Order: sequence, then structure tokens, then C-alpha cells
Amino acid sequence: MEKGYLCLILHAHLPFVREPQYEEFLEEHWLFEALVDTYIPLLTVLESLIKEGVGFSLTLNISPTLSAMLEDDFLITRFKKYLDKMIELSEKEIERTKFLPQFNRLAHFYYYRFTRAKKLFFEKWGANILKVFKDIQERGFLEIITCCATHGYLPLLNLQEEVIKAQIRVGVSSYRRVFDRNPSGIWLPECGYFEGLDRFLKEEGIKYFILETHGILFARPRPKFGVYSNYWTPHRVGIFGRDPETSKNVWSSIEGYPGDYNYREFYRDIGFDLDYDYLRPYIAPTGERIFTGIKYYRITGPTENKEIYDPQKALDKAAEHAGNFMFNREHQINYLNSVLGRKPIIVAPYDAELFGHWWFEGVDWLNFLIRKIHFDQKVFKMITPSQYLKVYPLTQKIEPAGSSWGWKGYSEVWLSGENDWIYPHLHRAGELMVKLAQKEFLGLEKRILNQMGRELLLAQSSDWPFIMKTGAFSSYAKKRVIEHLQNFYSLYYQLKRRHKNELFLRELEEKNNIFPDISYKVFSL
Amino acid sequence: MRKRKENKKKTVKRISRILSSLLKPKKKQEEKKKTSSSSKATLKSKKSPVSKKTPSKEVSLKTPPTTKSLESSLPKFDLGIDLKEEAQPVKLPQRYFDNKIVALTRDPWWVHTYWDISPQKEAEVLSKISSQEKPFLKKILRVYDVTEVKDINNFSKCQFFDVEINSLATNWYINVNKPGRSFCIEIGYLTSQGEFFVLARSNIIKTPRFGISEELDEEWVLPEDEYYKILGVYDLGKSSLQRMRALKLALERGISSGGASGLFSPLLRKRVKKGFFFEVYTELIIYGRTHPQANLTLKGEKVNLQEDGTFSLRFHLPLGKFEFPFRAVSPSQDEKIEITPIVERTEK
Repeated sequence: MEKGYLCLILHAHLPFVREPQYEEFLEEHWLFEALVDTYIPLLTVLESLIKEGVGFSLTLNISPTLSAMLEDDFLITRFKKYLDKMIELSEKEIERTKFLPQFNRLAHFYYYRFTRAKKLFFEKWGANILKVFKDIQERGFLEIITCCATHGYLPLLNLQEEVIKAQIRVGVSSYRRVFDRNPSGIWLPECGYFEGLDRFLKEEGIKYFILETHGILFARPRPKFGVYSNYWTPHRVGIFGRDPETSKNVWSSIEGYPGDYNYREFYRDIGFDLDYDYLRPYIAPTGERIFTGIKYYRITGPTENKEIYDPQKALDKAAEHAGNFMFNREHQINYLNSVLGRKPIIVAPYDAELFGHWWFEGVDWLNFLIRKIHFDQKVFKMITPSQYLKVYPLTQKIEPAGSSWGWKGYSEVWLSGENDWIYPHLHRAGELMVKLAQKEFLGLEKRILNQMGRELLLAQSSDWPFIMKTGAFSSYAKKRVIEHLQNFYSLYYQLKRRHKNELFLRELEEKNNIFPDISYKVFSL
Repeated sequence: MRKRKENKKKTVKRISRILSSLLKPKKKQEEKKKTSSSSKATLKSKKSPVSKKTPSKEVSLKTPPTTKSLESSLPKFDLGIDLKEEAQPVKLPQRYFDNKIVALTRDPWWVHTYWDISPQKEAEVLSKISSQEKPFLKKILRVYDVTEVKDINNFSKCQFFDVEINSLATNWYINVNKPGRSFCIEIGYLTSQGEFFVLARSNIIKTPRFGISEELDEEWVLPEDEYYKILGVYDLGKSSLQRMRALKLALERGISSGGASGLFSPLLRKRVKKGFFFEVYTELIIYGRTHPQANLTLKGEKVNLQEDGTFSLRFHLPLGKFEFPFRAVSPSQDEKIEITPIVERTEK
């Protein structure tokens, strides 16, 4: 009999980026890179595990903005073009490196990677990976949870209850549309929690959510089992706290696995190394050099003199690290089981894009880890939060503390000199939306209101202030907040006119086509 | 006094610009009337000339490098310039003048507040203050600890403190330094006699609780030290202050270090600081042309031709001597030409 459980949660999210008015748009590459680096390899691993009879229980959050993009024909077509270009570049690389056998081997490696991604995505999965994820969920291996509509950071939007509810409701309805069932849990954007939020979650039928470690530890009364059990909130929603040890293993750039010298170096990319004219067709349309994803070096050490990457050595390392992770969990769980008097749950949530994108070998690590857990030990099992809720339905009731998983544990990342200017605008627009949502509109006016709702939600994405804070791409983030709010007010202006410009409305509906079924009424109580 | 008047005038101009940009269709006279009658602010300012100042830095748009045509897609919109099309986007208001002050929680110790007070409201409140007092007025934020307040309209028994603010500021970060408490903020004028004239009152916010609760409702399982260890605090100080510091440090050191937005949080952020460096690589381009239907090979491997029969190959050229045996065979297979360039790269 197992002594405890490991709950791996992957949070897959990207902001909604869709710019059809441009022939090519750099920020759309976020999706394409995440597909090639993370989502496609992950799905490949999951399918192989099932095929080979390896049992596992994984929790995956696919955010509504990500799932909207994965459903979008326009972006899918662009993804194909992107892959074709990358295949072309890797073909050229195979030729260019003819006299460098080690590099040539890697060039073939990338060529295979891109062609295989294309084949799997478009031929095997019919350009619809949401359906593949859904099937895996229905076969019981995967628990897919939802997220707020546009990943709005709730603690800083909490001026109108209706705005918070809209973020949650649209997150739930978007999930229902894609996965044909109600989501059991929700991933709170950035784990952002404020006291009282559990009531809104309860009202929308959410069964559980995840908090940052101190959200649970600083709860009142003191949580009996640390972060190693579920609890109930005052409104009886299940809660789980993040285990810091497992997050450090993977996240930390010093102690964590991804910093190993054998792993691939992210920052050495041919996009910055090779001759400009040669690269020109494959970099940003405006001519800036960018990361192409073709990287030939390993981390090597704290040096500029990087050595060539050896995929086999890196793979061996990933297997070793998976073994180490499992070994540490066995010890942790044995110990916790002995002091807690119940089977502990170790909740280990990660951004999905960490695996494969930042940590190139991360998906392989995951693959090794799941196999090892299945075959090599008996101390613990993998579990999803809703399965664990059934193990301990009777547990302590606590009031969790406001918290987030951002830097310093609270809201500073999203509220600082670089980005605080957005809140007066977001709050006013929210206020106007809530006011309008109390009235009844029909026909064209109703469509205007629905689109206003979409624009407001898009402006509320936590990604924009986050990007403003971290620097890179910040002008795009600013542009997006301003643009959506301007669309919002332009629509409002149309609403008040006797003669409405339907063309204008239709253009916005077609461009920002997220949440096709949204009703502006989600902004009313 | 005169200065203030001027300021006021400017502000009125600004309102007019904002409200009109929000509400006013530039073309049609009839709509213009509607707007001005629905809004006090525009009434007065109708005559005033419009300043074409660009909006403040924060909301101004710099063209992102990646989206070069952004500017053209944005409204050429300012009062006085007619809209080309009625559906052009409305510009985001710079100010709202809705007499609001809003408080937000940043963390257990800090709150953020922003406000937007109309000149009318300012004038209305200032008119209640005697003219002798006016030169000595301070604009302040009064921060009430309302944790124990039952009646939200009566703050008289609350503890509070004042923060003097710059009259041009529109937002402020305040160190309340009290986790787990509720606060409400008023903005207003404080006279030298200590009389406070309120411009606006904020929403009530609560700072998150910090530290491990002393409230226990069940029999204890984990020893106290174990709790701190979960957070990575092994050296627990004796005093509560030491404890708090240790906890704070643990959070800063980042058990949460990875969090947030997968694709945008460079995990291996610590890059090696580059010293002086110099790297030289060589590449070789071999190009040429033949009959478009010819069969061209290099070392027996087929070389793809462009439609016009040209080709171009590009190789990384390391140190050494390299031969490139090309062979072109005519479409009819009866003619062939072989050329073998030899390239040597050395360094001294």
C-alpha cells in the first residue's frame, strides 16, 4: 500500500495573440514555439506512456486563451507556415555544417524535430490537439482543469465582484465548450488569492484550487498538516498548497536540475550567431535577430566558451535527475507519513512551458519520472487533486491567506512603477461594463456589449503587466492594454450612437474572436 | 493664488479634451450638442482653445519595434482634428475626473492608491476653507485602520496616520506595515489648525496575514519548527521580529522564484557577464549556373537548381583544405562537365 502521493500539475498558458492584419507577427511565435517545444512533445510522451501501459495521473491546466488559440484556424495555418520555414532553415543548416560533423548531427536532429512536429500535429492529430488532450482525460490519465478567462490577476481586479465572477465564469464556460464537462478545479492566475475569493469560486461550481505555500501556511487557524494535505475553505472549496521542495528542484537556477552543464544552453541560438543575410528570412519581419530554436551548445559552465551539445548525454542526465527526484519524494513521503498520521500529498505545480522550452530536456525528464514512479518504487503514487479529495473528504477548515506565486509572494510583480498605470483604466472600464450589464440589449447592441466584454477581458490579462515589469516585449504589452481598452470605448461610443457602424463591430469580432459564446451578462451578478 | 487659477484653467482644458475624445463624434454637430449637454465639464470648455499636448508618458504609445505600422493603425485623434472615419478608435482617456480614490493591496506591508479628483470637486472643497488658511494647506492621504470598525460611516474612533503628498501626484505607495488589517484611505486638505477637508474616500482593503497563525483548533501534528522548515527557514530566530524577518527573507529568496507566465520568465536568468570577446568564423558560398533541367551533383549528392538553372551553396568553412567535385549532366544525358574548386582555410 502506498504511503503518499505526488500531484504533478502543469499550467499551460499563453496570452491571446492573434494579429491577422500583419503578414507575419513576431509575438505569434510564442504559441508556435510552445507547440514545438512543449505541447507537442508532451502529448507525444503521454501517448507513448498509454500505449506502453504505464499508468499515470497528471493534472493539466489549459488556459482559455491558449485553448482559444489552439482552436483558431488562422493561427493553425500560420503555424504550418512557421514550421515550413523552420524546416527550410534546418535543411540549410544541414548543408552549411557539412564540414562540422558534430554540428551536422545536431542540424539533422533539428530537422527531424521540426518535420516530426509537423507530421504529428497536422497528420496524426488533425491539427486539433485539444481533442487529443480531451481523449486522454476521458481515458482517465489526465485531469484537465481550467483557468480564469484571460488569466486576469484577481487580487488587483477585485473592485467589482462582477468582474471577478466574469473572469471565473468565462473560464468555466470556455472549458465546458472544449471538454464537454464541468471543470473540477481551477488554476488561479499566478496563484493569486485574496480573502473571500473562495465564495466566488464556490458559486461557479469549482471544487478545488491551488495556493502558493504561504497561502496555506499562513492560514487561520494553523493548518494541521502543513502543505501536505487538502483543506476546506470557509465556503467549502478544496485547497492545496504548493510544496516548496519540489518546486526548488525544478525551478531554481542554482540548485535546480535545469542548470546542469550537460543540458542545452538556451541563450546560444543561431539567430544571434550566424551571418545576418543568411538568417534574414527566418528572423523578425522587422529585421531584429531572434531566437530561432536551433541551438548547438550545452550550458557547459559559467563561461562564454560553450561546448557542443550532446543530446544523448543530456538524455542520460535527465534520466538521472528523474531518479533523483523520485528518490527524494520517497524519503519525503516516508517521513511525512510517519509524522502526519495520514498519507501526504506533495503538490508540485509548474508552468508547462518550462518543460521543453526553457528546460529543453524537461519533457524527457517528465517521461523518465513517470515511468520510474510506475516501475521502480512502491512508496507513492501519482494522484490528481480531485482523487485526493476523495481520500480525505474529512479535513480541517481554514481561511487561507492572500498570496501569489509571483516574486516575493504577493502582488508586487503586477503592481509597480512599470505597470501600475493600467489599473485606473482597467477598473473604470470594469465599472462601466458592470453598469451596462445590468441592462437588457438586443440585436446589434447585444453584439456590441458582448464584444466589449471580450475586449475588457483581454485587457485584463496578467501577462501584460508581467511583461511590462520584466522588460522584453514591454511595448507590445502596453500596446495591447491600450488597444483593447480603446476598442472597448470605441464600441461604447457606437452603442450610444443612433447609427451604428456594424462593419467596425464585425472587424473586431473577427479579429479578437476569443469566447465566441460569451454573453455580456456574465458581468452581472 | 494666480498660479492655482492657471492650473485650474489648464485642467479644464484637459477635461474637455478627454471627455470629448471619449464621447464626442468629431463630425456631427448634433451629437456635439448632446455630449455637451450631458456633461458639465464640456459646457465651459467649449470655447477654450485646445491644447495639442500629447498624453502623459504612461499612456502614450511608443511604437513597438515589432509592429511598425502600429502608429498608422491608431487613431490620428485629437480635438480639432476631424476623424477620418467615425469608427476610428476612441483614445483612451488620460483622466476620468470621477472623484474617486482607489486602494489596492500590494503585500502585507504596502498598499497602493490612485485617485482622480475633478477640478470642480477641488474647488467645492476649497471653497469651504477660509482664505487665510489656503497658503498653508497640505494635501494629504489619511490612512485609517478600520479593522475593528462596525459602522463604515463613522471612522472617528479609528487609528489613522497622514501622508503628505505632492499636489501633482496621481498615485502613491504607502507603507502601512500591518499585515492582516483593513484600511481605508481618504484624500483631502489639512489646514494648519488640523482640520481635514475630504475630497474622496477609498474602498476598504485588507492586507494579507503574514506569519504562522497562533490560532490552533485541533490537536497538533507538526512541531512548530517543521512549519518554518517547509518555508525553508531552518535558523529560526527567538524573537517574533527575527521570525518575521526570516520568513520574509524566505519568500524573497523565492520559493516562488519560478512563478508566472511560462514563456516569459527566463529560468536561467543569471547569464555570464560578457567580458571582451572576439570571434571570427568563415563561410563559403559556392554558386553557379547550368541548364535548368541539368542534373547537378556535388560529391555524388544531388544539388537543387533554381528554376533559372542557378544554384547557391553555403558552407561553414573550418580550418583545412576542401575539394568540391561538381558534376553537371545535360538533360539529354549525353554531355557532362566536371569542375572541382579547391578551397583552403588557414590561420596565422
